[in-house]
Amino acid sequence: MGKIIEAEKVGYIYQSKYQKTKALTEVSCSFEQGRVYAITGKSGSGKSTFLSLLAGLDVPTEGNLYIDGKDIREIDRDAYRMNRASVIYQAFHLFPLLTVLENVMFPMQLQHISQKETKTRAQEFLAKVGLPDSLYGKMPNMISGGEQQRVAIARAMASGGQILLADEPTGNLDSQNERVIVELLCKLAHEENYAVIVVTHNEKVAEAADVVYGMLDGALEVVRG
Amino acid sequence: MLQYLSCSLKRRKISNLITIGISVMLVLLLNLYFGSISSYQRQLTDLAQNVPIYCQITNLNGSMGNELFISERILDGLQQSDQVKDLSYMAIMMAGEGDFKDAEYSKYLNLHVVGANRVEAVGELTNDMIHMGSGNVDELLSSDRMECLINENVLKKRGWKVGDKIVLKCYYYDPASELHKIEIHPMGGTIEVTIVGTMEDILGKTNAVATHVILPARTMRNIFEQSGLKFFSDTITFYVKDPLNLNAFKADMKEIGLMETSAEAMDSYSGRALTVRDANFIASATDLKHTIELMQSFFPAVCILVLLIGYVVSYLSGNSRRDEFALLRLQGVKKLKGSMLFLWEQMILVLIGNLIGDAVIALISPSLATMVIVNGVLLAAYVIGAAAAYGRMSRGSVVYLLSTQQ
Repeated sequence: MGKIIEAEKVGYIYQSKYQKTKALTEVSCSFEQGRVYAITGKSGSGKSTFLSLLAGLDVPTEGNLYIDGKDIREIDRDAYRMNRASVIYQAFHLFPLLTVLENVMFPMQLQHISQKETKTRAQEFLAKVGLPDSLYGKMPNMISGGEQQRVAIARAMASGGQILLADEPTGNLDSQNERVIVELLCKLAHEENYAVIVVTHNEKVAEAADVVYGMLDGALEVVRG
Repeated sequence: MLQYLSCSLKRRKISNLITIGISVMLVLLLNLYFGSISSYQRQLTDLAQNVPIYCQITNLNGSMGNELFISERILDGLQQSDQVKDLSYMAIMMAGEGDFKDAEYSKYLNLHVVGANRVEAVGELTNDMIHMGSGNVDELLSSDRMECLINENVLKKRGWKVGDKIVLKCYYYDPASELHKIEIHPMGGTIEVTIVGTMEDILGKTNAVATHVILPARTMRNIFEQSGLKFFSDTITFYVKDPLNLNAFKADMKEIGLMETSAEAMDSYSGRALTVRDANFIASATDLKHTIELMQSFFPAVCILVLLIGYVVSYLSGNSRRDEFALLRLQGVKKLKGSMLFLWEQMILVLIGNLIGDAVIALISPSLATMVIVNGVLLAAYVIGAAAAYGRMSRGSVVYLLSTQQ
C-alpha cells in the first residue's frame, strides 16, 4: 500500500516573544491507508504538535512533510482539511449551534454537494457510527460524550477524505464508550480503508493499533509495527 | 455557509437580541443627536420668517417714521436692492374736489390723498377693511391706473358711488419748508380718477391718520412727474430678505445712502436714516448658533463613541465565538471566508436593529436626511469595529484555540 503521509526529519520550534521551545526533533515516519497508527507519549512530548502538522494547521520549521507526495508547505492546507484529512478531538468540537445531523452535513455543504444528497449521506454516516435517528435533531449539548464523539467521527467521514487524525479521542469517555470508539476507528481503517492516526495516552487504544509510535521529548520511535 | 449563517441567526437568540437592541438604542440616540442639530438649524433658517427683521426709514435722530420727505433715490435704491423684501411705501398729498381757484383752497382742500404700493403701507388698514367693486386691491395698488379707493364716509357724504369718475385738484407738501412750518402748494391742473372700491374709516378704529382717498403709489408718482415735481415718500417700511446675512444687508443700505440714526442729530422731516429692529433676531440667532456649535463640537466624540460601541460589541461577539471560528478553520474554511461570515452576520443584525430604530423614528419625527446620516455612521462604525475585531480574531492560532478548550 502506498504512503499517503511521509515525514522526513520533521522538526518544529515554538517561538514566543521571550523564548524558543523545540517541540519536535527530526521526526521521520510514514503513514498508509487501511491501518491504525497510535502515537503515544507523555504530556508535552510533542504528540499533539505532530498531529497538528499532519492536519495542516501548521507547517514544520525543519524537515519536510509530504501529503500524497506533495510538500505540505506547497499545498492548499485549508482544502486539504476540507477534502482529505479530518481531525477529531478529546473535547469533540462539534458546532454548538448545529444539530447532530447538521454537524455531519456541514463538511458536505462546504463541498457544495446538493442539500438532498448531503442529508441522505449524513444520515448514512450517522447510522454507520451507530447513532439512533432519534438523536439527529438534537443539539450537541443534549447528547452524551460518547454520542458526541461518534457524531465527530461521522462528520470526519462526511468530508470524504481518507485520513482521520484523532487527538485523545477517548480521553473524555467511559470505558464502554471508549471501546465503541476504538472499534469504530479500527473499522474505518480496516473496512473503509482510512489511514487512522491516533494520539493517545490510553494503552487500550494503543493495543488496538496496527502500528505504535512512541514520542519522547520531540523524537519519534517505533514501539510496535 | 448560508445554512450556517441562517442557523446562527436563528439560534443565537439572546446575543443576537442584545446586538439588535444595542443597534436600536444607538439609532435612537444618534437620531436624537442629529435630529436636534437639524432641528436647531431649521429653527435658525426659519427664524427669518418667525422673527422677521423690520426696517423703517426715519429721520436722523430716529424720532419720526412717517410724515417724512424720503427722496426718490432712496426709494429706487430700496426697490432695486436684492436685500429687501415686502417693501411698503406711502406718499401723501392734499386734494379738493373739482377745479377750484387756488385762492379758495381753504374751502375746498379737504381730502387727504395717499399713494400706496400695498395695503400694509397705509397705517393700520387691512385687506378686510377694503371692499372692491371689481378687481383685486393688490393688483390695483401695484398698478399705475387712474383709479382710487374712497373712504366710505366720504363716499356717502359726497354722494359718490363706485364707478364714478371724480375730478381732483391736488396740492403737495413742500420739502423745502422750514421745520414745523410745512407748506402746501398746488401741483397745477386737475386729475380725473375712477372710484373702484371703498374702505372703512380707519379713524376711530385705529390711531392712524384719516385717509380719504387711496391711489396706487405709481399713479401718484406719475402725477408728480407730470407736474415737474420731485416725488417724496412719506413712509417706507420693509423687511430684511436674508436675515442670516445682515452684514451684506447693512453694506447695501449704506451704498443706497441710508445712515444710522443718532440721538444727537437735530429734528428734521428728511428721511435719511434706517432703523433696523434686529435685536430680537440677533439674540435668538446667536443663541441658536451657539447651541448648534456646541452640539456639533460633540460630533467627533459621538463618532468615537459609536465606533467604540461598534468595536466592543463586535469584539465581544467575536471573542465569544473564537472556538466556533477555530472549528470552521478546522473544517477547511479559509480565514477570510470565516471572518466574512461573522462580519455578515453582525451586519445583518445591525441592519435589523437600524431598521427597527428607523421605524420607531419614522413614527415619531420622520427625517430622511437624518436617517441616512445615522444609518451611514452606525454601519460604518460597526463595519470598522467588526472588521478590526474579526481580523484580530482570525490571526489567532487554531491549534491553540482548540487545545485550550480541551
